[in-house]
Amino acid sequence: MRYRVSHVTEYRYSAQVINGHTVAHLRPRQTPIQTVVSSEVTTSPAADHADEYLDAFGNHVSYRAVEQVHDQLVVTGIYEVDITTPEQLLWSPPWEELRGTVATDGTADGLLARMCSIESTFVTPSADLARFASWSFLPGRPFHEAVIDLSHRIYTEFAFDPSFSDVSTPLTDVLTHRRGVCQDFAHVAIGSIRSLGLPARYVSGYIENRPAPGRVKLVGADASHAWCSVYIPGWGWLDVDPTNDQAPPRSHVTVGWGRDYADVAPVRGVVFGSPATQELSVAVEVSRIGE
Amino acid sequence: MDLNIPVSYVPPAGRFDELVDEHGAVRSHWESMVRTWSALGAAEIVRRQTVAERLLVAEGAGHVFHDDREVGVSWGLDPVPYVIGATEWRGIERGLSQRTRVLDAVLDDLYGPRRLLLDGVIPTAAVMGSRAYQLAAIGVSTPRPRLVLYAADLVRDSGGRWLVLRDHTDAPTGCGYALMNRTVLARLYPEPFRHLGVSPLSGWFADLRSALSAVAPADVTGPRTILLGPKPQRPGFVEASYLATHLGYHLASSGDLITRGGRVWLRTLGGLEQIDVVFRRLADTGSDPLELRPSGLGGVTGLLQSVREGNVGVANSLGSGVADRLWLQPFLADAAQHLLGETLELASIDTWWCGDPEKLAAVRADPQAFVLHDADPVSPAASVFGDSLSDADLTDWLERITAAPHRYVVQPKIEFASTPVAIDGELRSGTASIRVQTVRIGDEAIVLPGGHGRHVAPGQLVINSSDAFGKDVWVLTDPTVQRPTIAAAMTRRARLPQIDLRDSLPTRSAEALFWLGRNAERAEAASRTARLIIARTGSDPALLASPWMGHAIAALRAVSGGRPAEREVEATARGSDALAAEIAAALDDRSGAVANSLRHLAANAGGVREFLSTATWRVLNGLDAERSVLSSTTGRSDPFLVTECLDRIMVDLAALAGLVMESMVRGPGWRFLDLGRRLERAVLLLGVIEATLSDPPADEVAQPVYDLVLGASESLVAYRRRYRSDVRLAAIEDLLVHDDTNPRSLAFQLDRVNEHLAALPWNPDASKHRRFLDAAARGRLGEGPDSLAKLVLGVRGPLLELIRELMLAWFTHPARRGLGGLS
Repeated sequence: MRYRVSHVTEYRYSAQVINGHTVAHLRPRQTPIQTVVSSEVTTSPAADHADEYLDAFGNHVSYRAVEQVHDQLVVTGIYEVDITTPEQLLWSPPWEELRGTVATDGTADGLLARMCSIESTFVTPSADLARFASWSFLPGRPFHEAVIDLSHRIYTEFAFDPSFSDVSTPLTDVLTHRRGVCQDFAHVAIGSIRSLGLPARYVSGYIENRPAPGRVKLVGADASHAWCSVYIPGWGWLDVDPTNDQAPPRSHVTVGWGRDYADVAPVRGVVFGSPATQELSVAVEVSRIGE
Repeated sequence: MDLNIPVSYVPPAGRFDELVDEHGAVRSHWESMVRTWSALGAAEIVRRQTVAERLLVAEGAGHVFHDDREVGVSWGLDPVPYVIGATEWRGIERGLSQRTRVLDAVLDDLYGPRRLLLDGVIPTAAVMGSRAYQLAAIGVSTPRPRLVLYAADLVRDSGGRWLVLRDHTDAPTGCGYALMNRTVLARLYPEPFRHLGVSPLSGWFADLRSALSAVAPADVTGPRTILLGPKPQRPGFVEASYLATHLGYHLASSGDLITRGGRVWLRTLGGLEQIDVVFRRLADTGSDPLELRPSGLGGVTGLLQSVREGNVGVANSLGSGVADRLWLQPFLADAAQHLLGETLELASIDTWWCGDPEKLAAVRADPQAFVLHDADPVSPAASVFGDSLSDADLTDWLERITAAPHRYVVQPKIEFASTPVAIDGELRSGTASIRVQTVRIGDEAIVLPGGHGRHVAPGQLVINSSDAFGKDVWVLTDPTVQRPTIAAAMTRRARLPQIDLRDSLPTRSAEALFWLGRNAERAEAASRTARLIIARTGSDPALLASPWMGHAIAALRAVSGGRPAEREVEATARGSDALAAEIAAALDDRSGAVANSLRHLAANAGGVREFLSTATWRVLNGLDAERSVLSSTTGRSDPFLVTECLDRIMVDLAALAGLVMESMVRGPGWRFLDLGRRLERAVLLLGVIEATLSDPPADEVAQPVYDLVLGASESLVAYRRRYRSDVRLAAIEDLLVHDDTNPRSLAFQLDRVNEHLAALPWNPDASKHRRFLDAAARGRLGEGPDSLAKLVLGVRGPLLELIRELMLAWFTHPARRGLGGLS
């Protein structure tokens, strides 16, 4: 299935900016089920200096510098990707065994899994999260089943509420009030799994904006999306989307992954000047353009 | 100090002591030092310690120059050096040289293939728990070596074995302090210095220069290197500026550097100058808000990107701070074995990682037996003795450790060796660690033959030993051994092309020099006026009850930042008490008053110490001492003290002005300083004229008022020599306003400002500045019945505008903000 994504981020500053540095995690990466056909990141005003590189997680990063006076900045990402059906995971070891296996896993994925087993910028493991996880992580239960059950519980117990949270809302508030948006749910899932000493990474991407026949429109469409992914040694990473109760999700476009939102924030940067405020608007469009 | 060593010097039993052996005999490498003490006598040593402290302050180490607090921590230097014999040193040298290579290899691995993590030599959680592990720097191809400058804190255990207490891989401090200490101690003991054969330090600094040049981008032959230091007034600034001066680099703070086009540029008055090597004295966590965490807004935005694109070398490489933290200690020996197949020659102090369940259990069972460390500290209270904690604090520590054990390490408590220290004129035994530096050139690591010893106060954690009471480290040379590094050094050090920095002036320096000129002028004008009023009223007390007082107070306020005086009102408040209050106000720490101007003057000078000679520093130190007199209430109110103090201030300010004129190169730096002085002098002169002459004084006090005006403008002698008559208003106006040969006149100041503006190499707003200056010049020629009042207004307006515009054109640093947002 081929998808076309356009992701437009627009900043309007209250005063002129002398120059601005932008770091964008917008260009999608290859995955076992995703082939990137084309991807392009542009800015308006046009960047005076640009660079592309891979970060520590292998994600594509676009650096753009606008070195002239401007009072608005538009960052546009446009890409086409082909996605195939993910492989179904049929078996995984009991979750209690995983910690030991991951600790001695000498592969790059094993290292990434260990990096995603402890606290990170937005995710602090806690006793509360461990308690929340324990209802799913029953003794001896296969790891993937426990994770899918956890995801299902987040889907059923949490309310999708864009007015509740922003990027600075602490995870404990999300857990207490049982509401938030996709990255909050991803962070709750990640934090719960890590609170048991197990690995979970954050995935940033998009979902198709089209309700399947006979089903309601998927929540989180028309915005960038986030979910989580867990590591099963010897098999690979299993994506789980607690916002839509899918494991693995079937129509998700993956941009990249990291320990949490901070590692793969779509657009961030530093501007010079003295704008007191900035207005931010984001427009995402995902369309299916071919089989 | 009783010098009957070893009788009077009794180190604790059962521990290694540096000075005496287990039989109580002085160790051979100390003999010459001990003989010197005996020859000097105790009184002389105490005296020399005082001299040492004065010399240190002259070297700029006095915290007064970089500490805004009124009571600064004063720097101390132990007159007793830390003496290390040649054989002993060879072991340290070998060990540190190896350790430099090992740590460099560890950094290369952590930011490259990460074999140590993949192969399980280092637990991933141990390194990931440190915010100093800069994920953004992974995979960035950076010039090698990563670790150009490295320092280790070494300490001897009670058995006399050297241990590494801490590694400094981020932006190690100490080599500047070592140099300062050496400068002072070499003067204190010229004799033993010669006899003992103490290794000189200077060669190592030449190596440091070569090493820094070596990390420049490959295609650059004569690299421009800059020392990126903390802002003035921040800890570490003094050492950074001392090093910059010694190495001959510009000292920049973050605001002086910007990145454009993936390159790093220094903002200078002449525009942007590309920088090839950044010698950073800032922690890498504060070096680039765009990519390095934790993301504050300090640092040079885009620095890592410039490294990534191969356009700049940064030493130490960004991310090196990760090996600075204690989490690495438990794994370093294994890492050395794994990466280089080598056994560590110098062991770390025994350190346990709490992420290991067995170690965690041991700590929880008996926390009192350990020193507890947050391995990724954000606050200085990150290390504590387990047995010094209250029950509540201990519970708190244990809870934190249990919640995230991978972020903590502990060290079993051990005893350290003792070493002689001089405390209050007594030779006692104490504990000290020494900070030794290495510089890496190619595959070699050259160890500084010396270092910075640091005292550990009793009961204090050795890791918290402070910079504030230092020891010079003397490494003795062995005359029988030809040190191979000396011959090698000559070929190793490439000759560096000279770079002419004459016209390049960082904007921050220009700003500090401009304010230095302004503050010197402010302090001078207010001191002179206050002094004059005290003298006049002293010799002619009748003035206290006359209308003269109104003029005098108005003049004093005009030059000391006071609110404009209403002469009629002030005239009623006469008498010596009222005057004393006015004088005290003119001397205190309110903006524009003397103590305040002197305080800012000191801060300005501290920010540009590379422009100022040692003699200038002596003068500045004198001014700072006088400021502290004024800062006390008695210092401001006792007429005798005030007069004496003001006299000294005026002499020192005159010396400062003379040194500026006679020993500063006439580059843009000097021009900015003089520009500040001239503009300030013009504005203050206008203030005095306005306050005293715009309403002509009553006839009976006209003469003393005129004398006051001339005296306050330092033009009384000039007047008398020229006119030899009673003072007349028209003649005063001529001398103070229009006479362009009087260096105190308005016309003279405007001429100098004009010259400076014309001579500055780069001024995008030149025409605007010219307009204001022309307007001021026109204002000077204004005529009419109340011409003086009009003249003041006509000149001052444009001058103040000009000052504002100059500061806007050159000194504004753009604010920064983060750009975030969730989509």
